[in-house]
Amino acid sequence: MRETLRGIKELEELLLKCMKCGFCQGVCPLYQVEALEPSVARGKLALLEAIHQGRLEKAQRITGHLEYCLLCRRCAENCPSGVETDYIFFRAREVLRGIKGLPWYQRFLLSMALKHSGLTAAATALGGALVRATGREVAEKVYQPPLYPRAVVRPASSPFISRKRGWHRASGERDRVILYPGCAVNYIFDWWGDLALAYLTRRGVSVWVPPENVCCGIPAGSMGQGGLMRDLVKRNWETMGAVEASCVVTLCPTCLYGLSEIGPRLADVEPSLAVMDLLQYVAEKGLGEEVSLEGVGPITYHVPCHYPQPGFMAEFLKSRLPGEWVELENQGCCGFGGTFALKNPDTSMDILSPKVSEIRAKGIKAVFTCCPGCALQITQGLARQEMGIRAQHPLEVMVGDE
Amino acid sequence: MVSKGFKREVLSIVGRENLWENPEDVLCYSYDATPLPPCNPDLVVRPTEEEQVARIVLLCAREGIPLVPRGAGTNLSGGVVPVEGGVVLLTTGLNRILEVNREDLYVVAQAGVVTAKLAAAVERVGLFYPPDPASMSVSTIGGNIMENAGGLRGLKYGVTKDYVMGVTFYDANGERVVGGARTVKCVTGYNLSGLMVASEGTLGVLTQAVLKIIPPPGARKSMMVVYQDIMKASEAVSAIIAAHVLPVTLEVLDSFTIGAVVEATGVDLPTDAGALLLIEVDGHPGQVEDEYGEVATICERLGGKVKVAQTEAERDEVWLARRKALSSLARLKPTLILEDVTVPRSQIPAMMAKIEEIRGRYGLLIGTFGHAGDGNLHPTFLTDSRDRGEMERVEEAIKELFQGALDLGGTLSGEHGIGVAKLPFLVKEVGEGTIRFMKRLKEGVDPRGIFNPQKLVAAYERDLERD
Repeated sequence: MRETLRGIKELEELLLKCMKCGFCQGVCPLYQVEALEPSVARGKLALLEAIHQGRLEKAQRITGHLEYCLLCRRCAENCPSGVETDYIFFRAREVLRGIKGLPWYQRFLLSMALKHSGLTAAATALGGALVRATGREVAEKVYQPPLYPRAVVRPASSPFISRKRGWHRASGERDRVILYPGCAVNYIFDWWGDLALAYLTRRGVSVWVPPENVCCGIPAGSMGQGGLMRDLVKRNWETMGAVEASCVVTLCPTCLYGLSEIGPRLADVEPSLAVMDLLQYVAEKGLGEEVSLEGVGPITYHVPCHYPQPGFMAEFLKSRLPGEWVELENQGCCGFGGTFALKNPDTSMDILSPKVSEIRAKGIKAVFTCCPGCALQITQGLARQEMGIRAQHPLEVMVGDE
Repeated sequence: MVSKGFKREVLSIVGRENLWENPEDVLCYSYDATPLPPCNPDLVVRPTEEEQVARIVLLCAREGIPLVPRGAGTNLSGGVVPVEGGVVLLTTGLNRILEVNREDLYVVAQAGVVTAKLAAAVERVGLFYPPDPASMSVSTIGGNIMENAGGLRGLKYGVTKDYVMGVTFYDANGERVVGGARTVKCVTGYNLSGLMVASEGTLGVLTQAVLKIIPPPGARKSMMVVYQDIMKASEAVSAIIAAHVLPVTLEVLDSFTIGAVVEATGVDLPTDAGALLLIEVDGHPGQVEDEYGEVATICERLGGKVKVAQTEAERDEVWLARRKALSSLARLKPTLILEDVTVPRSQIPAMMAKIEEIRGRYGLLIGTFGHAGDGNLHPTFLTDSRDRGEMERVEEAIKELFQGALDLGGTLSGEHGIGVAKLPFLVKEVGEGTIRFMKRLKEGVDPRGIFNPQKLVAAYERDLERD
């Protein structure tokens, strides 16, 4: 308990900045569906403050409250007082999980993903084969397995990294980048990785793919395993820092957040390279050509939470992919939040629900997003509505007929 | 403490999913946006149907258990802090907009509807709900009515009270009381809508309101006026009102606030200015031009430099500075105390001088901004609640500030309410007779004192006895 108090005391200065205005309610995806104070940042900060001030005795009782959060960072982005809620929540989860260990299934997931990558690869390949063999295909690459309440995007037959590790030299090289795929692209959306690799190398950008999949650390951190998260951040930067490249390109906003924002802040490392989303890189370097989506019907784009709101890269996509773009009124979180969706499947879907209803009502024919987590979640929602489409990465159409 | 039997009965009304009693859950309802010591309720309940409110009220009345209605908990005077424990009743489960009437220009909404959602629903049918408290993105209509929330458009369009046509609430006997109507005129009995406005949850639990909506203005024009001297800016405010021009919004930022905004946001403002006035006029295009001309002439006569927003983007920039004022100040120190003293508009220069004098004499950090056109200023004290010495000086300074406002014929609170934060000062403003009258009113309708105890009236007697 004393250690817990010390851990929370370290956060005192950060907690004090909250003036309890409650404005986080307006942007919190959980508050939007529940309207309850313990779900929103102000409530969680008040709980931490109460532990620190001795008004609440059993610290472990607030663990569930602190972990009941998507870590979408919208409260931090919109906080009038600039409270670093995400940093506080990562640190607090670590302190609280220090007294109350992780449930077995989360320990199992972590150790699979982080220590036994070979086993994970085998398991995903097996899972993929099973899903394809037994499931009903409800959209391209999307299957509805028997006895499972949700549609799933089929896992990769063989992980992206094991197929594509190392350098891929472009002819007429104009730049060199590291492509950091992240777990979701490595094990599930492997074709996003393939498309990115091809798109870049064909346009004079040499690409280096890491030799093994080292997670960005966000899942570990969100489960309160701060030490593990810091190790992962350090390992990634040790590996990537030694590569001769101009920047790191990612296909996952949460990996970007973990590698270049919250991760380095928590692990106290200085990233040696800039990290940017693939779309951002393509836009900045002026790569590629316009591809028309006229005739497809209404199309839309979902901006992931870990990218700047509103409209990160939206203008670029509209000019690059001319078509019947529709801006959704619902610019909120998709409700995925990584481990959040695993632990709270119903709430997670409740958050998504108004977005999918709007997509359906507006007769949208294609939904784009540049986040594998959002793509998984929105695809599930679309499957529930039996719309026969899945959420796509813009890259899937940017390649045109290549 | 509430008994097990009581909990069981509440449970049977709202169900397990709408009742909270664990310390960590109820603690999240121990505060609002006021820097005051928190107090835990014993139970938190969330009725989802209005008739459930009647049953909960009856239970509380039977057992004499305090009942504190709560919306978003954004208020700034401690109005929803359950100082005697008891039950916090969340209105957020009553969040339906029941009717938007385009023909008769009103909207009927339940108490828990978020202000911005109501405003958006009204806008979608081409109409306008003007009250725009700063917290409108999260605040509830019920809370707005209970605190008589103001906002930036008060000068021309008035505040929440000017839009409440009717109310439905539950009294201490659990009876449904309906005041007002869906008509423009209505004189059937006491003006219960008026009585509920600013009653801070002490008379009953509001569940519904009929609100007036109006056609939106056709055109608008925003400008920023730069002054070297805040006294000149204050004189300009009084002069504009004296010239009988009513802008929608007439806001002031002092030099300290300007500096804080520039530092926090990088917005391009003249950092060497003594004060900024941000002004918007609206109405028919012709009227907008005329009023703009008059306002600009007055401002320039008093030495102001007028910059008009030519595009929507420039307009947004003008208002960004104002919107970021509070948050920019908040980042400077751990504790922020936001006051809302209000004086007759002709007294703005005198009030401003008083604030400057207090700031100098107490050596405190005070940023002042606010709705100058309404005579409503937000002197904002920046401090650290852990620094007892400084907190004592802040308290003294606030007392002087209140006295200063009263001496100028003003009021303690323009839009934040009395709650518990301003309770000790109220008698100075309204006098003992008024307090006794309000107290008798309260006792008449809530004899056991269950509704939001120790706010507004319940504490008066104690204070008066002490005097």
